Amino acid sequence: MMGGTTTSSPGDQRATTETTSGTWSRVAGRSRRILGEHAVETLFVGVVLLGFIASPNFLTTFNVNSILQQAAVLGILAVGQAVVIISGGFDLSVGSVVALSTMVTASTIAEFGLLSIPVAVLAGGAMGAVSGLAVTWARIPPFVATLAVLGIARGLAFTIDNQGIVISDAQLVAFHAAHVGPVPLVALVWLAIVVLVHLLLRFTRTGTHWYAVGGNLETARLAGVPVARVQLKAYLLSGCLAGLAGVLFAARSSSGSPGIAAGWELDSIAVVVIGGVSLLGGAGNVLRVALGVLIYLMLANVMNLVNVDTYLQNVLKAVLILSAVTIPLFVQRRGQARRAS
Amino acid sequence: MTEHMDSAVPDALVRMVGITKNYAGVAALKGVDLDLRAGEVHCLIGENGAGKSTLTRILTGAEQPTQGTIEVAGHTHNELRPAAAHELGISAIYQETDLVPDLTVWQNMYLGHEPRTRYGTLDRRGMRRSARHVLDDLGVGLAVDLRVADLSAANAQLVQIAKALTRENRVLIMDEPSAVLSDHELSGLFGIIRTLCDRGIGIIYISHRLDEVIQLGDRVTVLRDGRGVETTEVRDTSIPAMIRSMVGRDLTDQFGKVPAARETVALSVRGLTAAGRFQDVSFDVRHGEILGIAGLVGAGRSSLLSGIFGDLSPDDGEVAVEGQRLAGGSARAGIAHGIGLVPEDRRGAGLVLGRSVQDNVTLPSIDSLSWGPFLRPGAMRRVTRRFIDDFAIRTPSPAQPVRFLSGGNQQKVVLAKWLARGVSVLLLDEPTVGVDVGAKSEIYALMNRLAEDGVAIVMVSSDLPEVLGMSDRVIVMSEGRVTAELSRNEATQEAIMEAAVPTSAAVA
Repeated sequence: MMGGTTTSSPGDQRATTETTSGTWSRVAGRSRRILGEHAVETLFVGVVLLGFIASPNFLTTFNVNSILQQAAVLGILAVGQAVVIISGGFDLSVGSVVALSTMVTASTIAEFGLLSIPVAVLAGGAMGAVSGLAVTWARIPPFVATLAVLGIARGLAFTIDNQGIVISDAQLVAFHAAHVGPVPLVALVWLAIVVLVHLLLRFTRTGTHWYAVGGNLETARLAGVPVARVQLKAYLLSGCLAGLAGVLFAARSSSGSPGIAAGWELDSIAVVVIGGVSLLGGAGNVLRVALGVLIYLMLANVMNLVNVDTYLQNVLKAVLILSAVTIPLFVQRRGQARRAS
Repeated sequence: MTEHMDSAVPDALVRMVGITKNYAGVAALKGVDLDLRAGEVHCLIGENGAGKSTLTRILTGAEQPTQGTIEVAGHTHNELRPAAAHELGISAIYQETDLVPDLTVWQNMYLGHEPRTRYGTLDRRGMRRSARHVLDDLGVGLAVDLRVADLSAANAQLVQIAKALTRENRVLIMDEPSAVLSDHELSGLFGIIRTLCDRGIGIIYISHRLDEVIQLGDRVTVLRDGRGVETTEVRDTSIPAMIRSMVGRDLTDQFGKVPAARETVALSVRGLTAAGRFQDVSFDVRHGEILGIAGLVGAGRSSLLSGIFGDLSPDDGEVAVEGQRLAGGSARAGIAHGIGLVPEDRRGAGLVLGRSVQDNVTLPSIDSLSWGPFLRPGAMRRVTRRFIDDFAIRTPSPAQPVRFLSGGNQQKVVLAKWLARGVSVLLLDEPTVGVDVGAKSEIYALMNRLAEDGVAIVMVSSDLPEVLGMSDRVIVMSEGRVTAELSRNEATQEAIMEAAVPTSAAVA
């Protein structure tokens, strides 16, 4: 019996496998390209569809606006984080700087009014300067340097007032509540920053230098790029943006709170990674980082809407981050293996 | 294609046949054959980059061949993995020791294959005893409890050999073992090597010192440009004959040298010294002149270029461009004075691989391509276009990441980035390493054109025909010092080799 069937079938089988594998490899090749080049966009659409299917409350004006308001704060942090990572470092201090900034805002607003906004931003910038100088001048690795600043900023926030301060400034609260049409004003502020920094990265010398230093520090140095100054600028920007994010957060919660935003540095790194920025530096795009922020927050939002257990949410978020890092890597490796063979 | 025909040799330990290895399209080895008999010392010689290391790395399983087979003990393999090579008794001893400094001699010797007692704990006593035994057999009187960090380089090397002998090794690869040894230690090493041969172990011995080949080797295989040129009995050859096969490529004019040296001095180097790297180096380079710097790897040539560029702060001496003294201390100093550096490590220090051709070409000249803080995309595109056309850089577009270009085209991008800025002195470190033959002549043509435009060029190269073909003048360095200065007429391969090779008095 076996002998009878084996005479004819192997060839046929091979033929069919070859055709299917041909089609399959074409499909795989195309999806690899899409996954490789438009992974973030694909994921974004996927999560929107997921939310749409999972809950009728997902695509409501109220829910979308609530996501956008959260996105504004995290998104502004993420822009700074993205720039630092693109230039080859990273910034663990941003969460604490947000807390410090809420405290600076809250403690100065009664006296300065809206002038407290630039004051808080500058306070953030000062923290960024400390990180930047520690990295460039003292040559402390970014991990250690910004970890120290994380402690400094948090400590200063508690030094200002360890209980927190209530904000009663009507202008600031009104600013946060304001909408342009249906869209929250703060979301537009975030969007404006994303676009500005995108242009900065694409069309200025500093932006080009960030990519060069993050891509290959040695080459950049030998090409005469002022490496230290370039890195310092990245940390300064990240500090200032964290300061601004703190102002928005203070406006949202009508208070300065020294203990908030703990762990946000990791969230900001997570969304930057989901947004396709290479942790090795030298590559990335802040428009995609903005999508990464939305993906991250939408996923949390959907999980809340369908009542996924909070602790399980953390697990799923972590899985998302892990896949965001590994899938493009695998795609890239497969691609390289194919080119090499 | 040389020797594997006489497969009648019964006691071949290893037979590598038709080994080819491509890196990203560039062939490092092209169909090399090599066989090793039991009890012989088979020397492997060739210029830097001829493929010696790649070949031995394939044998130890560190790399896998693109084509070819490896026959060990009668079994044919298409490739070896490190674990498999270990199994088969193939072991290598490299220049940079792979010993753990903080462990003792015996711990290092048994690292990774520690014997156990019947209780499953480490058999420390057994290891110490057999380590002692192996060292005694070699005639090495070394305490097994010493930390490796406290050993001299020579003793560390002996420990490596002893370590290789703790496994059932049949094949030992030694990569320039003599480089760190004094003459006395060298003769000791030779004694040990002979002992090993008497036990039937086959040894592949890589060295730049040809006198050692004569003294120690049974057979010698010469590699050149990734091909096996010849395999001969050592007694049938001589040092000049070996040098000829190592370098003897026809000097047909792939260089197209056009003498363009002018009278005026562009670069002048006086007494430049950096401790431990180079000593008291002085020379002038005129506009339009190409000065070749020859020497072996490790002679201090690359450091010298860094010293001239300003990236490495010299301890003494001075560098002047167009009569103006360089401040030194940073790459920016050299660049400001119109020096460009094309580093040997193109991918690690010459290019930002993930960025586009345009980003790389415009990187050093970005100041002049900006308006205040803003880039001038139009100007950047024009400059990039001009160099892509002018240098015939083969790229689908200026936006292509340089990672995907071939070695030759990558090198043209590095040259373009300096010329886009406009330099009067160009320092080239191994300008055609990893570049295929066709692109090589294109790079030579570019160098000639630059010289005609009056650029002073300093070229470090280990490729002797290249040095001879392109240079108006050659200086040779050995162990950090200039050992010869030769005019274009005086410069021959033999003269350069003679000045480049550190003499090992052990032979005398």
